[in-house]
Amino acid sequence: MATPMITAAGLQKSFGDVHALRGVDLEVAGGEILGLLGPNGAGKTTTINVLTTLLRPDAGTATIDGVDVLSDPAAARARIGLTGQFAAIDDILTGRENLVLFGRLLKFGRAGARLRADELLSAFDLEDAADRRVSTYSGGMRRRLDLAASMVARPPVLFLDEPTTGLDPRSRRTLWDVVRRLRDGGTTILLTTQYLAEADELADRIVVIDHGSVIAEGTAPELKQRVGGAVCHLAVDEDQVEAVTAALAERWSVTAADGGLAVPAASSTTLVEVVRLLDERRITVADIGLRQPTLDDVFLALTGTSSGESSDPGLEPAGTAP
Amino acid sequence: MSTSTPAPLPRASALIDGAALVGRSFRIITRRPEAVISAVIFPLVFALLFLAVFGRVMERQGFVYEQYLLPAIVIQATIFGAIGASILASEDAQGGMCHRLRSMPISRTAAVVAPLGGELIRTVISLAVLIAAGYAMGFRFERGVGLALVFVVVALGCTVAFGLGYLVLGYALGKVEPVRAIAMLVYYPLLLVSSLFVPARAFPDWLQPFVDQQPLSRVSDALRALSTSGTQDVGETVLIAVAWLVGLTVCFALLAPRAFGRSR
Repeated sequence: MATPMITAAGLQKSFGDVHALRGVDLEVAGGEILGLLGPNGAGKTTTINVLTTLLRPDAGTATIDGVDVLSDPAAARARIGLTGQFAAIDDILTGRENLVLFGRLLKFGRAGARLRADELLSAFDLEDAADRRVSTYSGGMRRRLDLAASMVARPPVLFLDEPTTGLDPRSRRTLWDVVRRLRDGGTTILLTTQYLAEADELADRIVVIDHGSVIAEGTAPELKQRVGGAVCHLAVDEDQVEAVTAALAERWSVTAADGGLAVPAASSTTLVEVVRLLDERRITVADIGLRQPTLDDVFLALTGTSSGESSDPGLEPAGTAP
Repeated sequence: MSTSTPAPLPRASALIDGAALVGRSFRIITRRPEAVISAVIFPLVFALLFLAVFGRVMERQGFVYEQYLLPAIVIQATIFGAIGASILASEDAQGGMCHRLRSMPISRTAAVVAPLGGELIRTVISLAVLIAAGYAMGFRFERGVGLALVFVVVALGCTVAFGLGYLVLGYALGKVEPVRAIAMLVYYPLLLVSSLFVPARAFPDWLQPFVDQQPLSRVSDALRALSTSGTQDVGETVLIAVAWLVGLTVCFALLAPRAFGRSR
């Protein structure tokens, strides 16, 4: 990796008895999107809070663009943009007023701040709503404005904490496009997400984090490989399980999956083969289909517990939980 | 996207950041009808109610109640301003704005006190309206322009001292509703168990020391000394009030950045 834009080494942070971070290491290369994937309470937001100077870790070091976050937070802040879980913009002001405010705070001057606001409103497709109060915006528009507000100073590094939580699928796609365009413009991005699909879609590399530790790292295909790739999933009635298992076990390794059985599906032909086999044996099942690995599967494979069990909603510390 | 011209790294400036953020706070205030109501109409209604309820009794006790009441109404307006700052602060903490501001290369002091700055502007306007209304009802600055100015400064000092305290509350709790509730819980006893609306001797003996000594009473005594002729020991009365306000200001000024630095 060339000179990393973001580094974290051995980050530890406890809140009382809760060990939010137990030694997190990260490196993000310039112009890369790193997806920090994990359930609620895994330590994603705490990691972001440390990297954005909001929180001092108990141990460990972090740098942004070579600047030590702990010893020179002011210089680090000049290099980052942060879009937190909740849109940090003023509802009662217009979109333009919000952006002009941040322009002024970032020393664009009055005229410069207006110009920069115009640029951003057009880049984030908010021109039509520029002079409406943010309270009238849709969820997707608010998110885009929030993102625009983080990009006012064209920071080389952008942090996105669960950028699409609560958005409808279409707004989510729009936001993904915006994030990709930022990356293509040279911005280094660290984003957190609970959704493998989102990390899959956006991230060049994924770091999986759980209980404050990094438990896996790699590209989306690599991670899915570790889960075992796609499976052919069968919903089977209780009294049929034995017969179906016996039939399938002749050719595949059968595992119990929620509400039925699963066999690894190297390709979509596996599905056809399973159906044909069952048809030959005159066995009918309630439902059958291909299933791509989900975050749950990744967690099952990596930790032996499903993400639902390993997450503790009370754990995401002071920083940001609603 | 728009990253072609690398901007110079932005730097903090207490002046520019303060102006921008105070402007923001004031703009938010002006867009809320309830802010205007609580700044101007509420204190006026209170003034009329108190005049109606206590006016005659107090006249019989030998008070010119318009003259006695105005400082109390002024203090009420300054505390409304202070409470407003705690609401703005808690909204910033709740909505994530504190996090954004803390992650930006801007003046920390400016970011911390900006809500109070916005409320100070509102308080100045509110004082102007209340004093004008007071004049219409018969209140007079009987000690001249100089002490009238000191009167205004002490009143605004009251907003600053209590406003900083309320900022600590707002940033520390970071949720609007509990902040509003606790703000009132602190405010009403201080407001009513005081010499603001009736003299200390109207209270039972065991309460009188508290009524005499508590800061709002001290400030109202000072404002009366500054506006009404015939009061004794003007200098001492004002000094005690100023000492209270400076003490509270220093105390809360030390706490506010900490609360902001830990805000959600």
